[in-house]
Amino acid sequence: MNVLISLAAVGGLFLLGTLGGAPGMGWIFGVVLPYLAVGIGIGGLIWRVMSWANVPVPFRIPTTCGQQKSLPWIKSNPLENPHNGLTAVGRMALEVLFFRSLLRNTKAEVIDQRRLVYTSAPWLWIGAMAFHWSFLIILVRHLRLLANPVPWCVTFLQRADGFLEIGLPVIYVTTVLFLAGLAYLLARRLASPQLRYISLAGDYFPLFLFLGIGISGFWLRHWTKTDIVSVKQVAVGLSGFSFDSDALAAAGSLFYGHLFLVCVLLAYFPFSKLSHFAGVFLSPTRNMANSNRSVRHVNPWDYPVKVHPYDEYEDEFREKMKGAGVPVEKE
Amino acid sequence: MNDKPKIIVGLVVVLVAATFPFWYTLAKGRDVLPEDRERPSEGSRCVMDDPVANHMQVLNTWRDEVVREGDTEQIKVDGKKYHKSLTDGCLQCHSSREDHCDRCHEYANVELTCWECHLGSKGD
Repeated sequence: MNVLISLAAVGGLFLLGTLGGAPGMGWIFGVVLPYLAVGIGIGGLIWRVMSWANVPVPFRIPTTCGQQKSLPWIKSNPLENPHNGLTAVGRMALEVLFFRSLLRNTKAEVIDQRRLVYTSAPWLWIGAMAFHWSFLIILVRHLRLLANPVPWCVTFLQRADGFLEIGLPVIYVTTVLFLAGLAYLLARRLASPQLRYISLAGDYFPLFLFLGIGISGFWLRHWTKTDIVSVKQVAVGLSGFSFDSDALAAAGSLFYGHLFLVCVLLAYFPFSKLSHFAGVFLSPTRNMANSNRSVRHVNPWDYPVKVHPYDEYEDEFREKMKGAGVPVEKE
Repeated sequence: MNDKPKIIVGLVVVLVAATFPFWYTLAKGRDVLPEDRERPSEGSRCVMDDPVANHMQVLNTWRDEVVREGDTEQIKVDGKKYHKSLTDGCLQCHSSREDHCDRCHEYANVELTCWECHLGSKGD
């Protein structure tokens, strides 16, 4: 059910977007909605991250599986169990850039009908790496439409990405990896009963949204070839705040379908699971050094406690204590 | 008590990177739309129905047919014969490589390999 709702939602949104190809609608779908989406995306991101920034940092949680730094002759594992800020940055970088946690994914199997065996299950990591890195490169590649003149690094990336020179227009490696990664991540959710049970519409919708964007982008480049010059005029007009109604009319409804899905993605980003893009940096078990024992940590919100030590107590009650026969330390 | 200063620094870095197209265009000037493309003159027509979208594929097919299969037979459009060739076909009408190819290709940053072997019109 979650699957069908998400699929129908993305399909409906795409069809809604193709309305941008109708006469006069280019201004709404090609100018107003993209700015609105960027505004919601940026505003939402700031709101989301600031709501996290106000949360007190918890005490360091040393969830690690590496040897802690202690005596000099015991070999420690600084990336697994960082002891200072620098090594914590190293662990963070491996997590953010290479999703190291996903490599710990395991699969439990019963073999010989009685032995439970855990094996490594790297496919989630492989699919995630293929999808995320391709997505980043595809985003940067799109700067050829948003920036004029095109920065050299974008051209370089484009050349490297298309180095296989298969097909005309050349098929980019990242296009294939992006779609293949997504297809695997979707198939994985659908194939496993346990995963299907815990998957919500909020898990399927982003997958279908990315698939919709990827497939419509592939379509625009390789099947129904879009008028790339008009598309660039629209895009560069957006980044330079100068618009051309001829280009907006010439861009074609398929392009507007693609663009509208991207707008939906931008506006949806901060309010969904996709905000893990910012949240991963704030993972308390990943971004704090395990210095619980080597450094003294004072609870930062300790307030001065009003105490009443024994000598003051005795000063206050000495006469009464003496009267009652209670022994006192000072006469 | 919390990591607000660090988080704000990170957020600003991300926002500056995300708005790169805006400040890049601001730095390079607002005049971002190109000159008009070369339009066909009255009465003439291309051998293709939609050359802007599909010219690369026709050129590729022609290359395969002529160079690899030796099929040099001319194509006939509206009773007129044309060579299946870039130099002897397309460039006969669209003589200026600069106006006809480079303007859009440079604007959209689409790199092409034609001129690695072929020569453009005179003077190129």
